[in-house]
Amino acid sequence: MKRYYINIFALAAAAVLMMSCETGTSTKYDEMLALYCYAKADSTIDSLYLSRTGDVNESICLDNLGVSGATIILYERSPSDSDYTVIGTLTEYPERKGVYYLPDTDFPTGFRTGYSYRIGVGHDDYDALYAEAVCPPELPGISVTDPRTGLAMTSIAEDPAVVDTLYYRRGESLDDIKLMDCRFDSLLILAEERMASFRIVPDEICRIDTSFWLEDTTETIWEDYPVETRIFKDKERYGKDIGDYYLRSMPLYWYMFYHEGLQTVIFSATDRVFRSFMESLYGDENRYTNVVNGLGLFTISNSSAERSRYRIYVRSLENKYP
Amino acid sequence: MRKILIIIFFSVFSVYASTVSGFVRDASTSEVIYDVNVYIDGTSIGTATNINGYFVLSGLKAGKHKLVVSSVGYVTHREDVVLLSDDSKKMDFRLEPETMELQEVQVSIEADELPDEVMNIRAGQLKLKPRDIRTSATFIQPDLFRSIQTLPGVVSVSDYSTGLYVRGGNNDHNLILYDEIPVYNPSHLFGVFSSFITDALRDSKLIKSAYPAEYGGRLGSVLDIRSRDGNKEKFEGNISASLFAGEGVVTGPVYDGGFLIAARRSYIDPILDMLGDEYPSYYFWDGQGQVYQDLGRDDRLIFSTYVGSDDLSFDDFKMDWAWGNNTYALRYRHIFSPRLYSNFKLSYSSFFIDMNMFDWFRYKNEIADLSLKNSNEYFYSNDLVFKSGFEVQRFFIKYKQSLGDTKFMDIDGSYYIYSLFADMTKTWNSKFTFKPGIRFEYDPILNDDFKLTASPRLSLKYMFSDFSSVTLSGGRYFQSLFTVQQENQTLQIVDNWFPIDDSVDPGICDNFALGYETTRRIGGGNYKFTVEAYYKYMQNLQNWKETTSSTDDVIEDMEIGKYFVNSYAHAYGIEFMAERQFGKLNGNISYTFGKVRKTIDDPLEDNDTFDAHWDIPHSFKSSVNYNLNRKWSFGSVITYSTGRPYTENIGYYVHIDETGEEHIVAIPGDRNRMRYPDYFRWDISANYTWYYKNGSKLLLNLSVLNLTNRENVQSFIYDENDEDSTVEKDVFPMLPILPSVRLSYSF
Repeated sequence: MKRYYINIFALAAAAVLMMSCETGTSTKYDEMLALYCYAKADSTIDSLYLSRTGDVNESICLDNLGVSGATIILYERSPSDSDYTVIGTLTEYPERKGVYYLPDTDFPTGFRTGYSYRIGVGHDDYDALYAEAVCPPELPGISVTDPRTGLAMTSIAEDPAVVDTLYYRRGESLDDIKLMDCRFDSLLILAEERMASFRIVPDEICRIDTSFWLEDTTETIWEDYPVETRIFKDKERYGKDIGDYYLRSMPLYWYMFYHEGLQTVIFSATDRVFRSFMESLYGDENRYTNVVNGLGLFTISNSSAERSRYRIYVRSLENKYP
Repeated sequence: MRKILIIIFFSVFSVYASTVSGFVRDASTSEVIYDVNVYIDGTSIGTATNINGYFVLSGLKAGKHKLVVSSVGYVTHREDVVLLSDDSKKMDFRLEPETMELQEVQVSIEADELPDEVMNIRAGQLKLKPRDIRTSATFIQPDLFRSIQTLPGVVSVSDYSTGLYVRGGNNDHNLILYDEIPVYNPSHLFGVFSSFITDALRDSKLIKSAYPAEYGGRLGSVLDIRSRDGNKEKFEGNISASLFAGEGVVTGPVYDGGFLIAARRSYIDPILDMLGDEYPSYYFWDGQGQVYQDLGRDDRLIFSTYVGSDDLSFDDFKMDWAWGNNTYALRYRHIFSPRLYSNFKLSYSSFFIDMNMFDWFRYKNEIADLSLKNSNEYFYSNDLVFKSGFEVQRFFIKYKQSLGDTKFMDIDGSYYIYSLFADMTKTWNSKFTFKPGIRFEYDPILNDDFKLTASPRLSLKYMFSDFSSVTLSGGRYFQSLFTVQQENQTLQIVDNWFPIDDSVDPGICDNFALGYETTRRIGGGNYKFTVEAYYKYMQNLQNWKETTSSTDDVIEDMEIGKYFVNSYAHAYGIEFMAERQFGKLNGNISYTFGKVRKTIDDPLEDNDTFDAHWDIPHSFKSSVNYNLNRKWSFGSVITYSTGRPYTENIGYYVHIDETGEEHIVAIPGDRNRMRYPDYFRWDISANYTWYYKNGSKLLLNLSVLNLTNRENVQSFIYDENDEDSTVEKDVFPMLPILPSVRLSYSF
């Protein structure tokens, strides 16, 4: 009897010992560079961020991880060419570690629709890296309406002085308070594997310039492509009405606005890089990057369509009748 | 016509010798008992009752025989039977449940009385009785699934989940049957409690791998749960209350049959409501019922149902979220002849999730299964039994998602699966048993290679003696219905079921298990020792593509294959268990070694091979009960296991968004390469029973979970320190020390 108990105890002790040994093995950490550049059609690069990765004990901010002393060159290639040509070399801001820009004078045309661009980065302490993107066409067939009245809104390009006042009623459900509705030819967007986004810029902290934006608060949503589709390969096998995707506009609800007051709304087309990145946010672990030998994103958006910018005044319906 | 054909078919095998057939029932309730040994004393002629308590002893010579009927937990019954030549006797037996005192007496004789049954291949099978669940340490209330989690070969990934990971299989590889009806998501409170009311259950059998041909549609295991038939003899009932929920069971005779009604409801919602609108309101409820009528000795009609749901509402978000199961089954049992036993079943089972937020976001997933099944057992002789049947299932799938007036997904379809199965059990010399089987499935929605599948099954058993045997089982298994799985999602909130289409191949599992069991008498007690090894090769496991969002858009040919990435896995392990079923001190102690290595079959993911998130190589478990006397009993459950694997963060970088704002992004290490600290939990319980003169009794159960208050890690959570922009790692813990009390009154 005692022998059995001893055996069982010995087995249990051996098991416990084995369990304690199973702690896993850590993955080797290699330092890399991360590049972020959100370029806009018709503009030059006002801010390109270059930083390095940090290990688990470091302070993870640009002040600590920003990388100075890099040689960053912007290249351009027209749709008809096979080789890139150099546009210019970026310069680091004097007091902003790891933030680089390309002066307007070096790039007077700005990013051009249909052209390909490459950013190459060289640094003594790191492997060279580069990223490529194509400037997308503007949003096709854009039309923005005020859902309350059903009337088309006037863009800044059509009338620089126009300001539309949009009202919301406190306490209404979110679905009822659609303030703007932007429609565009989504099929064309889809064919380009691009997506559309919007930005809301509170007016008092916004300085609008064709080549330079300073934005404090923005909202960007990822739009689904509004075309019918199927989730299953053969619809007939499952019955009708399976897996249809439905047409969708780009609605803006009141909660998307930062606060009451003057705001500017900009609708823009983004490229396939941004789309891939947004997709990866819904996935797991690894974010999409188009930076070769590094991390980050080089993406170009286009809000140069005539009817893409709107100045609006957002206020509650209660304030309309004080 | 069909009946005639069956009779003609089986009559080819008829033999002309004496036969004894019948049912074995519990004397106090008239409910059937399965796995009961029925044998002729002093001979090797014997059999065991099937799941419906039916047995056939055939090939008996004319003359006087002493029949022995014995089962764990019951007083052994002996009866003389006189048979004439070519006699066919129908004999039903009623076994008296043994009391505590009788169990002690039984210890001294059990080794002689309860030999292993050669026809009964039990390797990889575990049985649980409700009374074992009731008196063990419980998480607030007795729970079948939590008791199963304490068994060898079964892994739990969280204190917060009743999910079962059996022998390296995922939690959707288990076929969970309630009275033969598949149940798709048998849990409450996001998996914290399982659905079934313990007092309304009769038996539960877990077949951990290599299950027989009568079951299908899952890669791994079968959990066959049977509800109580209903007491045909008298009215009785039970009410109980725990800190979280109250439940009641009533059963009694009705006409020539019995009924059972059970209900449970949680009562935490009034407390949550009192706390204010900032807290959600939540409750769950269950209802179980069964009514049966005996239409003569050979016919029984049974209706059983299980319904239950969870309801979560949150006023601040205008949220209503309900999910639950509805199952209904009508079964008809008919004994065509003493040798031919048939079951017919028409059932409906559905699982639904319905969520509404702000009257704006709607989410609905529903799977329903309408099934017609027939199974027949033909007892040709004591050493040859045939089993065959068919099943037609029609599945209904709904998956809808909408945001405002925008529909993301709107799936509404149905499809059929047709199954045909057959197996036989043949024994030679009362030593060696050979059980081949095959299951054919026709699944029209799959691609041409898998429309018609054949799943061979084979079990072999060799008995060295009445108390020692070795078993080898294996088979090929298919699964075409699966849940959405993500490797980083160890705590599945609710399961979303998807049928696969012809763009991917169905899940395939080749499965082998080798087991040895022996019963030895040591120090006056009987101990069963079991060693079982298994190997599984699982193919076509569908994982959610980690780089694909749930609203991806590739328009023209949107199909399952584009959303899920294929993977395959090898699982192997060995289990050791020592068990004492009788006596004051009873229970089991086990050690399991098991590995699950998974490979993503996608060049984009570098064909990554890693430990599955439920891979727990070493697991030590002990579940012991001590019955001090008729009134006092104590329980202890200990689990010590390797920590689960996880993907560590090896570094961070700054993500700059388009406004220039900085966000910290983690750099993941190799997938599932690190492990959480070892898991340890010790639960104890004490039970005191008051017995009253009118036959009723009151049970007080006091439990303490995680007695040592060990902080087991559910996951790590990361938070940015605003002062220095560093990332701090904190533990999201599993359950702390948790006392609970439960009162149960039986009348």
